[in-house]
Amino acid sequence: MGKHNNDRLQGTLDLLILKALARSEALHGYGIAQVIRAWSDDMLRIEDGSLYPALHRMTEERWLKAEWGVTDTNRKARFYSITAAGRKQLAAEEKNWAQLTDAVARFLRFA
Amino acid sequence: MSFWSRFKNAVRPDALDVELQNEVETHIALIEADEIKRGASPEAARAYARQRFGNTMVHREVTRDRDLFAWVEQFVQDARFSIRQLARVPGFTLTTVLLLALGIGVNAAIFTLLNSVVLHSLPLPDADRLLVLLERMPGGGDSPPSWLDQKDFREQNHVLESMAAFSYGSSMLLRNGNETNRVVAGYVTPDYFSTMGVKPVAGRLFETSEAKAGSDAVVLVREDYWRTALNGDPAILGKQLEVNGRKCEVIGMLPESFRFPSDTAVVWAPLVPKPNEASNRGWHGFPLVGRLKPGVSMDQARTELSAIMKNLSQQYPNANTDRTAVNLYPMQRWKVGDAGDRLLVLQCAAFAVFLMTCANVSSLLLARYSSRRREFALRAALGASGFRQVRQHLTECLMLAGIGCVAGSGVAYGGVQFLLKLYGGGLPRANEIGVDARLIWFTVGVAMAGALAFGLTTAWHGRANGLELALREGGHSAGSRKGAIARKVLVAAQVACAVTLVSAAAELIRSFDQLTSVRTGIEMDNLLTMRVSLPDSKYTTAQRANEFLTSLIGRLNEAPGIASAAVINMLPIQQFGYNGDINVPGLPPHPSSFYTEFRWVAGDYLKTMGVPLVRGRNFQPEELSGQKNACIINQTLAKTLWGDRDPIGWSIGSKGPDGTTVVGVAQDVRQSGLNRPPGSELILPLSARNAPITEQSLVVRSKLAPSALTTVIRKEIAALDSEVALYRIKPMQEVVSDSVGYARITTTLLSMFAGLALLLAAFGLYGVMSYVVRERMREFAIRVAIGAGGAQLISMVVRQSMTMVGVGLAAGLVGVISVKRVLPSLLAGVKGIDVVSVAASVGVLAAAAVVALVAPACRATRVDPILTLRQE
Repeated sequence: MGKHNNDRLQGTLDLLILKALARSEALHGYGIAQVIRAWSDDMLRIEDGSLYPALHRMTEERWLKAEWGVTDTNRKARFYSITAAGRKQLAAEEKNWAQLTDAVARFLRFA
Repeated sequence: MSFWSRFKNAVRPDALDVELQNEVETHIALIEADEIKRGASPEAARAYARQRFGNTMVHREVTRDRDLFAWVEQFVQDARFSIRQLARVPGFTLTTVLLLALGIGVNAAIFTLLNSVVLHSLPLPDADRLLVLLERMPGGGDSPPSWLDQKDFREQNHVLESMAAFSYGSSMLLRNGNETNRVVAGYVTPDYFSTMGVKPVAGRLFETSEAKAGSDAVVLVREDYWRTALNGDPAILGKQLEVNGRKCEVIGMLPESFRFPSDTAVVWAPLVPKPNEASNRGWHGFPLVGRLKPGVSMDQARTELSAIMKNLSQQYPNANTDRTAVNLYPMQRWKVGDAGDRLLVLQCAAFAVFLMTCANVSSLLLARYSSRRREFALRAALGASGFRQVRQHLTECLMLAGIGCVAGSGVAYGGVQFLLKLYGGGLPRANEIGVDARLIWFTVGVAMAGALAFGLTTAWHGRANGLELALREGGHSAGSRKGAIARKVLVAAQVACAVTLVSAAAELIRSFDQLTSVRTGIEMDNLLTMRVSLPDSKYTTAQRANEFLTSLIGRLNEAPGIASAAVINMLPIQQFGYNGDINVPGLPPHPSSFYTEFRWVAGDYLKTMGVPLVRGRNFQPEELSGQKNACIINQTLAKTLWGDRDPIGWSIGSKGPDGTTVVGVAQDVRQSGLNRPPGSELILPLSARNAPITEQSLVVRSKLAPSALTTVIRKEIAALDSEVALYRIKPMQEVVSDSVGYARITTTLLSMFAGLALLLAAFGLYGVMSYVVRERMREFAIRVAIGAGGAQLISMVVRQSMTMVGVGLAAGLVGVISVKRVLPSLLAGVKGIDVVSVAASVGVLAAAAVVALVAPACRATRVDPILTLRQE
């Protein structure tokens, strides 16, 4: 378990990134931001800059793998992809998330 | 965050910055590009990109974790806390720092010498390709090649890039004003300098044409000699110096760092063999230096040069009898000799002392830990992680080691001064001793290794079992078992180290004592010795030299206060190695390995030295003056050649002057040093020689103080010839003690280390037992309360310490066995470790242990049950 496990907000961002990468090839930061925006129909608006601390931290945790590459427009960029450890983390986060939302939903129902 | 990425980041923080910068720039550019594609103006696109990317401190956040700064910050925090903690226990801190300073300082001091003398390569280009070439004698010993052999080596070898000859003869008389000084010189062939790879700092080197009699009136001087003895004369090049009685031109100056052939050589002159030396293949007097061709190994060179040597011995069986191989010495080895091995052994001893200081510090830390158990428990309860606690502890250890390192540098400085004084100029390459990066790394490394060693050995104990327990039980009664065992192991290890070192030292002392109590065969009291050097150019014939020496002896014999004076070409113990074969018609042929030392004397040598005759008579005046031939042999020679027969009256021929009659047999003298048994010796009157000897030893028996006597002798010499120089003036006792100088130094140093080891072991035992007694006070109090006596308590304390001392002693014996093999390299004649030495050291250790136990045991008996139990 990562040390930021109990930080829900950060956990959410991690979850989104992991999910985005789990469904596609390697992506650069902008690509990840675009995927998250597209899937959430622009509901989840995250400042793109805040992705980077998370990306670097998750790379350091070995959930992600980063490699330098070139974009379509011929720019140098770092491409992130998910690792096996990352997939495990994703599963755990998804479970956590489900439990949490479930708990909150139940709370709202009874309150 | 792994330490590694933090470290990488610390090493190349810029790289991280640049990478992140790239990433962010690409991101923003991509947003802009998409916006423009959608039809936005470039300005709008940029504004949108900035807004979308956000004003987050990306860089700071990404790197915060990796930032070494945070880590350093934490370290500084820990360090400050440690300092506060240490300041609160000044006694502990001071003791620890002193121990560490001692351990680190001693190691750094020895390493300073080892580093400069052994580890540094010689200050010459590609010095590892330089070698000294000598011929191998039948017994394996060295002998320099002859001039003709040298020529053959030059012509026939394919392994050396270049080679040159030099001469062992190193004296030179330099006349400065009215004073004649003897300096150490190097007589070398012109290609010597190019072979060595040295360049002049001014002027030029010798030309090949200058290695001929007549055109060889040129010298080179060493820079520092020019600066001091020649007053730094700026116009020295081209000036004439009076060398050995003739004018020579100074043509160049060599760098101060060039110390060849010997450390003390300050002037160089071309080596020009005398006609008889150049044509006689049997005159072995020209050691060679060579430079290996690149890629040629020492072994390859040895094989080829030995093959050449073998041919030479077959071709010239008389001149090169049984010289079938060469001995090659790498220049570094040649220069440093055994001093390097001795330093290495001393370094090991010093390291053992360091380990002991570390063990002591560990014990101290463990004891302190026990008294801080509550603090640790409390901190753990408040959320400090185990890692954090260990780290805090290690930081404290680093602080201690750091302070110890600084203090140790001071100790090392003093130590080096002490060592240099102890060596008294006898250490090769002493001029190169200095501080360099390697020394600093070594010292810091030793300190850090120590910090880690005593830090880690104590750390696991710090977070060891039952912290809650410690809290609950209120401090010290819950002394952990693990800690107690650790302390005991440490004490045992120290005892083992100490036994090993003390045994080794005891053996050295014993051997040294045996060595110095060897009978030299000389009456040592009131005997002053010195070297007399006559200028070659003036004393060209044996007759002139003998006339001078005879009249000098005559004047000295008449001088008040002088009992007798004499001259010999080589003073026993100080010089040896002028030897050869003799032929005695009528005796069965002796083995080919036989040789005898030749000594030429003037004046009454035997009487002056106090060497008694065991048979026959002393020289008579007409024999000393050369009108009649006679010789005296020593007991060993008599026994070797004549056996039980009486040698008196026999005639010795061949290489000695023909038909010399043996008139007496003198008692043996240790002519080749205290550690070698007397060899055969033939004593002849100086007048029997037809070539002059211009370097002689003068021996004077007198009750006058050496300084007063020297004045008298100088006056008499000046009255005869002011160009004659006097040097190496020493009482005979000093000659003898100098001859075992190395043995003395090694024995002294090792004894000091052994003494330190003994103190440290005792101190360690004392520390641990004091602590144990304190821990058991409550138990003792109860025992006293239910009727135990003082004696019982003492025996309990002693019994508890017996195990660790016993185990230590036993382990020490294993150590003794392992150092047995290195001892002979320290002192010739040591064959191993005698049981006596080991027994003595075990006894000493046991005694030290008893002393260390006195105080803790007494403290145990003074326990006041009521007071102690009430405290709980």
